[in-house]
Amino acid sequence: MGKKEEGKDRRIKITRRGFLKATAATGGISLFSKANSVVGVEKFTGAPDRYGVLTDLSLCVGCRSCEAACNEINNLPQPKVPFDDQSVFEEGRRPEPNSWTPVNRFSNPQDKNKPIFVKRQCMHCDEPACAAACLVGAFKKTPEGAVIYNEDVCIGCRYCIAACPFYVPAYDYASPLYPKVRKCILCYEKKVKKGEPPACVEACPMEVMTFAKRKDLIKLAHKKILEKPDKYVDHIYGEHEAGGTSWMYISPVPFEKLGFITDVSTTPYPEFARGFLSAVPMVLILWPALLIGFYMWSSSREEIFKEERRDDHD
Amino acid sequence: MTNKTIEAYPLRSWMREKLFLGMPFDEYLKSLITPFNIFVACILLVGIPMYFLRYLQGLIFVMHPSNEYPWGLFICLGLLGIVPLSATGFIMASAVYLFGLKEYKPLVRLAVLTGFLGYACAVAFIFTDIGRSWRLPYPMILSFGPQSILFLVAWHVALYLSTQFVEFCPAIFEWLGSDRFRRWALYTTIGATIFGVILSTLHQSALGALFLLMPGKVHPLWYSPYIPVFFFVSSIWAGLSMIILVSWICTKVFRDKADDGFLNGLDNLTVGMGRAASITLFAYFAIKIIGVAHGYHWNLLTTSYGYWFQLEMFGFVLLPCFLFAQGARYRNVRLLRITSIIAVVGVVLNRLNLSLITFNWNLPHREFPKWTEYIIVLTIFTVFVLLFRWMVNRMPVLREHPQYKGMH
Amino acid sequence: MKRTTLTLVLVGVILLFVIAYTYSSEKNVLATAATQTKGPETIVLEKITNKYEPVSFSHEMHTGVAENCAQCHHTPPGENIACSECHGAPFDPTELNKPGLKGAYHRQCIGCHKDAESGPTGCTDCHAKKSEKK
Repeated sequence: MGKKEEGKDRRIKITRRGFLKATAATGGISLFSKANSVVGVEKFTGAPDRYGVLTDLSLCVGCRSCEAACNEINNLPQPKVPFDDQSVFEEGRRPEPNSWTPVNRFSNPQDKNKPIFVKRQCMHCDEPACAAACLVGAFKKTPEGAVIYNEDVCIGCRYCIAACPFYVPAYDYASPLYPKVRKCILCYEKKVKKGEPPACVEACPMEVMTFAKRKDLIKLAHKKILEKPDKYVDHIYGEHEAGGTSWMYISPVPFEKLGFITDVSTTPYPEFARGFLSAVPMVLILWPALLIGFYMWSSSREEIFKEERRDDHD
Repeated sequence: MTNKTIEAYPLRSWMREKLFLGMPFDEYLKSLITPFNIFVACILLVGIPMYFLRYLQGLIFVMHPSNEYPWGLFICLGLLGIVPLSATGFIMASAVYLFGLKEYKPLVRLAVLTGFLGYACAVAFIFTDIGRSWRLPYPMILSFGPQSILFLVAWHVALYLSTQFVEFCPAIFEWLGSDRFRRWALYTTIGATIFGVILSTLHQSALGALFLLMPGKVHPLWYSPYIPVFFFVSSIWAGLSMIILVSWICTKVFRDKADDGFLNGLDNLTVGMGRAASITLFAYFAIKIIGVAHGYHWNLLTTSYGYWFQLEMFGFVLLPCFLFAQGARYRNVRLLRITSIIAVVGVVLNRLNLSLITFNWNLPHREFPKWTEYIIVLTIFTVFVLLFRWMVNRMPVLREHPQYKGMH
Repeated sequence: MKRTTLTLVLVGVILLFVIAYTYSSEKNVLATAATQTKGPETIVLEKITNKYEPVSFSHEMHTGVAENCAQCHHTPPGENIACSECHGAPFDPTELNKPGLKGAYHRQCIGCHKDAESGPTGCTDCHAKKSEKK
């Protein structure tokens, strides 16, 4: 009887040590379970007055003034082909480190002589996948609507590039010392923060793009479609895509024919990670309990086994 | 130089005993000239300058500057492929210390060493891959992004690497002959084991959860809300298979460094692990089917990607499951060991399929990794093998240290 | 023996660096360095619109070509007022559907020229570029 109690004591001593360690560790790790309280995972109901840009694809003539304006305001290097050269439309382009808003040309099934030009750039999602992905929090959705990037903390893991459903961000692979993630930042510091439209929107001679509060733009887009139902497809691209984006499009031609990604989820992308992130604190609490339980159970089994052996010898 | 003289120089004698396997330095150097070492030297002669060029010219030297495929072999093979194979540490430690399966004791140190070096390799791959390698500590010390699953991975890999090192410390201190530190290291075993299992569960599954953010880019047969569970369960059978494989290699290559306690019991242990791997593989197969059912993706099984999925499932999951069961039942250790190769290939194939081969499955063009990536992967893997060999040759991994026999 | 080994190792490392640097022929390294300078805070964006000379628009010629006045003077009906009477600064939140003056000009001119398939549609067809381009 005495021996058994001794054995029990010994067992408790070891498990207490392990238990304390595990608890300390759990407490330390559970500091990280603040996962749900950061921008990027919660439903974006904040900033109802955030700005947006509505692009009317029936108006663009492919003059590329927007590309030139973006290049100038962001101090990007001059491209090999100048901006008044239309030969670039031969090939489809995507955003590149030094070309944040390429314009692409598509043939118009309704009128062969009037091709459609589509300006492509960051969509400035309300709940950006890039912000949810970034492990150093380099991406932020500002109250004004722009999704901006902080190059001072970026380590270059490129998870944001992998996560973006619109294939927007581009990386400076050719720079050994100062590579950055490059994308349209909606001219945040220089323009939008002060309430002024981005450079590309201002530069456009046809005013293809309208800069205003997002909620007003949605009303405007619906109004335009209602007034001229033959002129536009009844869909605002960006109203619900990826849970809603600040940059939206209306088009005379179905969006699939214009290179748009049409199977973008209407659930905001950070939601997909939420299930796993909310399970993390569960594991942090339950696993130590389970494992210590296993340890105690197996130790007691060993004790009983040793006792039985001792009894057999006697 | 006679033995008498060398003992008069304590540092040189210590170096000779600990570092040069007890041989005089020139004799040790001569012993290094073996065909295997020459082969290794060739790899390193190409790989190491290439590594320098990666930093002189930027990432564009080692990979295609693709923004559709930002992750190449370093992440998809180096990180995602090595991590499940490095689950050896937490599996063996929990089996012995938490579930009380004391008969697996001889394998613990080997498993922990494999795991530790594997994670160190994974960190080396991450270091090479990120654009600004010197900023690797940023998510730990400078700027936190706790909404990111990658943040969780970063922290856990760093913590787990330290935990594995702590779990391996008893062996290091036995080798160095420091009794006090060794005792301290042993006290931490249980806590480190529990901590290690928690960390492993989370980061093995988190590596899979990284892809939850990309439902349009990962093929639907591989994409599922259950990806984290798939990754965790597969890490268990991957780790078990890896221990079978590595212990087999050790009986061939490091036979003289192993003691009877290791060699004699190994067959029984292999059978036990084979049985466990078989059960886990079957469970994994079943939950993968649930994953396909959950997404109503039956019709995709007859597409070309579907056939590839079936090959992975039947050839690299169900087949090793069956072979492990056969091997365990009839105590056919050779079959178990060959099957472990299939299983190891299978888990790496699964990771590559999800992250690289079927990634961007609906984009019109496919991109293949640049040839330089293969060389650097081979180089880092070679360094892993060299480090493994260095440590097994000197430290009591496959044997009990004569001074500390039976004391742990 | 020790000193010679050390020197050999040192020379070997230096050689590796030299070989590697000789082969790094990418001049892009220096080119991209230029893009890191943070530009001045204020960039006068009107440069874009100031890139072109003023347009010389022939109203007489267009009155001969157009079917009626309302084709261009679309509001208010019956009256022929200048575009700038109604179209001012763009993006007026109360009247988002009405373009600003620049947009109104270009939509009206280019729109009609494209429909009629005659008339200038390119940028420099109507206004020449200013000589001092950025």
